[in-house]
Amino acid sequence: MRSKIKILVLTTLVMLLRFMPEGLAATEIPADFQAIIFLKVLKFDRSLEARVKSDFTIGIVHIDGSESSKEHCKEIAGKFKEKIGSEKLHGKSVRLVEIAMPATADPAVVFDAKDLNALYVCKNMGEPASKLLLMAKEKKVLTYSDSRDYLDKGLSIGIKLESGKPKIIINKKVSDEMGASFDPRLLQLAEVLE
Amino acid sequence: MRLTRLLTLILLIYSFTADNGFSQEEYDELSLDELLNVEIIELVTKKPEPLFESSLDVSVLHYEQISRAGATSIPEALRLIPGMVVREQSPGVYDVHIQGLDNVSINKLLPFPSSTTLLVMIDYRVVYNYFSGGTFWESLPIGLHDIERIEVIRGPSSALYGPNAVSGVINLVTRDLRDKGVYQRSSFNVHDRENFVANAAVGYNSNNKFTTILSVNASQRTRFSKDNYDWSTKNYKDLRLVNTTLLQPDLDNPEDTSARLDRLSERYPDPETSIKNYGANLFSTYDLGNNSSLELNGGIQSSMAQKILVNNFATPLTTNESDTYYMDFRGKFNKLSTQVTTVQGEQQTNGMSDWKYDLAVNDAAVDYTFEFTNLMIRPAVNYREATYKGEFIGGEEKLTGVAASLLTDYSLLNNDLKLLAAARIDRYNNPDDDYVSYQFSTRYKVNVNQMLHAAYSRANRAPFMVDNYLQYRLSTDESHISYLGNTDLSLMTVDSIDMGWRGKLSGSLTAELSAFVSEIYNLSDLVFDKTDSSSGKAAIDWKYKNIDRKAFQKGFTTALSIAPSRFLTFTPFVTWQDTRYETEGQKEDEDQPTPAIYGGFSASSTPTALLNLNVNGFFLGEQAFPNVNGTEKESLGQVFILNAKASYPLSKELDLFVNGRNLTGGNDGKREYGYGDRIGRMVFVGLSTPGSGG
Repeated sequence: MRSKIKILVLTTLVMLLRFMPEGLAATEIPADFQAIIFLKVLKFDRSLEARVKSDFTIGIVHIDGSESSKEHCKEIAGKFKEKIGSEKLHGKSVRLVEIAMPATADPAVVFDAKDLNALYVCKNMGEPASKLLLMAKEKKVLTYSDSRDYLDKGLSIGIKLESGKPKIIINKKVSDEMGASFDPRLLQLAEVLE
Repeated sequence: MRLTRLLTLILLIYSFTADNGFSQEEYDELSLDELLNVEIIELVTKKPEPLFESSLDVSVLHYEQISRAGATSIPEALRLIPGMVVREQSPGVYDVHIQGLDNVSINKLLPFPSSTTLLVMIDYRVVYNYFSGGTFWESLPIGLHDIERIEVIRGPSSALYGPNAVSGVINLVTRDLRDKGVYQRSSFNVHDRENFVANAAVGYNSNNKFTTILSVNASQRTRFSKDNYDWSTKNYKDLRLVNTTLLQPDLDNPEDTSARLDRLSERYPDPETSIKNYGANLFSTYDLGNNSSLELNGGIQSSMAQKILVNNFATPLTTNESDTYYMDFRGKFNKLSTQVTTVQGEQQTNGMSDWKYDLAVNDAAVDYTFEFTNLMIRPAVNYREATYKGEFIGGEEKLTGVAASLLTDYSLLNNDLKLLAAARIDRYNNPDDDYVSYQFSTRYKVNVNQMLHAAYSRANRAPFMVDNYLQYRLSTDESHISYLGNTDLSLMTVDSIDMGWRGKLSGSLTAELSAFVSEIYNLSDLVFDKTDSSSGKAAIDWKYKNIDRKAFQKGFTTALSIAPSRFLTFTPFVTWQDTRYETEGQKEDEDQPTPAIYGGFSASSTPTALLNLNVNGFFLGEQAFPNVNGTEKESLGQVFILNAKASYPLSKELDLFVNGRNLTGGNDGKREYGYGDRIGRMVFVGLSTPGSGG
């Protein structure tokens, strides 16, 4: 009986600790791998050169007010910055924009005047993620994330661990609608959602 | 330590040579195909990192690899991992060691115990048995189909995972549903009505918020031979003719029944069955968002196994029974992680009621992660309480331990160099003392194709019931004999150095080599304490005491992974080890149960899109098992175990397979473990559903 009481006390303690401040959002696949893999995936987009007029702009968006979403974004953006360097995608320079999206704002603010070509959607975006992904589809902006929650909300490219190794998920219908045309070699390596 | 210096020199020379031969590539330079082949692990720091870059000697085995190889149980699957010594004591009942060290655990009451120096966890829940130390593999509640992957650290890791991680750590990671909707996975291996392994699980993922899996498993195996070894007559014979060593049998009169084992049907209720076990588990996870989650797992198991553990004064093979249940709560709240677990039930290790006990083991752990640029710091506190109640300890006794630990992980030189330092202090009730364990490890990335790693560690074993509280008494015509525990024993401790190299020699060939040197001390044994003849019959006391005995081990493990095409993979591995024991400064006989050389391989091929073939093997060099008093030993020659599995999909959701185990064993088979059963060939046919929704 005493041991059961101890467990109860410890469990209660843990529940109380729930209210401690938010912290860093862990990522299943290291952020540098996510950045490198996404940049390589984009090279398999055969229509990218025709779609992009000048520089290729990647946005990294998190929800304003969520510390974990912000921290995840910071980690991902840091690695993208490192990896972009002097990277060229089909001859286009790559630049990065970090975007904080207010939870109540129209997702259009994410796209306004930023000329985005791709968007990394950070974790823990909550409800606004659906509207954001819908608008990305309208604006023909490729979306990418390691959060599988977004796949059935219209994310175009996902990434997961399968048997301990990274696996790309291509949402074929969505990416086709966005004008992307992925090389069959990429589709062979990826899990394709029709 | 001469070997250490030599290995350091070789590895340094090799790394400098390699540096000149390879460009300073980073992952950016790899092709997408190569990047998607990089294995990610979380075992060492609980943060994702490429396995190739780990600072410790680690391996990971995934369910898909296990299923392809046809392993029918968790310990059998461990034969696919480099550095593991896995021997079948009776069909389906295994002894598992990392890098050997069989003899550090032996004592007169436990002449061939399971490895007490290996820490096994299920999702970081410690499943160590505090009766006499070690893991009772047959009493694990989960089945193979519950496993997502098996993670192994070779070498001491008490500073990271707590006491008993003296020779290594095995973490069995269960399935985590990530895809929404219904999940199912099942597998049925059937030889006949008395030899089968069955697993089934169903689950549901509700919008990635709530997931739950209900799983069940059952297995049964029968012995190839009905004979048991008789200590007194030194041969194998029908169990009904085995004598007890507590009475001197009349060897000139083999029909004399007065010295036979009494209560035979109580001690061996099912002598022809080697193992029978059942388990059921419920796994549930609730995602709180913001990188926080709650997980509650629970399960029950019931098992009977014939294995070699306690000296039962007649024959080594003994009936062990276990009926337990567990609850495991885990909470993750951003940087804060916590785990509270309990396992309770009853077990019987000698087939007799006076060796029956109730157990309740409770664990609680909390850690918090601080992250800065390139630096991670994780303090943690742990509490453990193991309560056992049984006649063998004269009632109820308790072992408690409180621990505080600190892990730091620091990357520098653009992550080319990684330093990991961990320290832990454990305070026990018995012995009433503090034990410090530590681990300093480093990994240097020569380039993206070459890694060097090294570690210096100290680890200790925890106290357990038999060593501490034993109060076992028996009477013969001449004497009353008492076997007594000792609460002041110094705990077995290891100091170890290991270093290794991992290399990608080409796109289809990777190799690894790790070498280890260790010294193990504070060993204990049941030794004669005193005798008193004042009351007629002699009263003889034997008591656990530390002995002046040390073990010195050195060795290496090497493994290759060859994938000449996407349809063929070949992974051979081998370990060489040399363990020397010194008692009171004198070197002991070199014959030992741990083979000097052991290893295995797995080869998989998909010659057509539908047919899956796997052939795998396991090799054990010569072994010698001395008996309780060292007056005799059973020497076993080399053993080679060959397994093969072919599977063919009948539909998208159903595979048909033929699974041959120990094909080289013949009908009668060979012994893999001293005084154990012969292990013969067994062919299963079966059906499996590869699993969906995972």
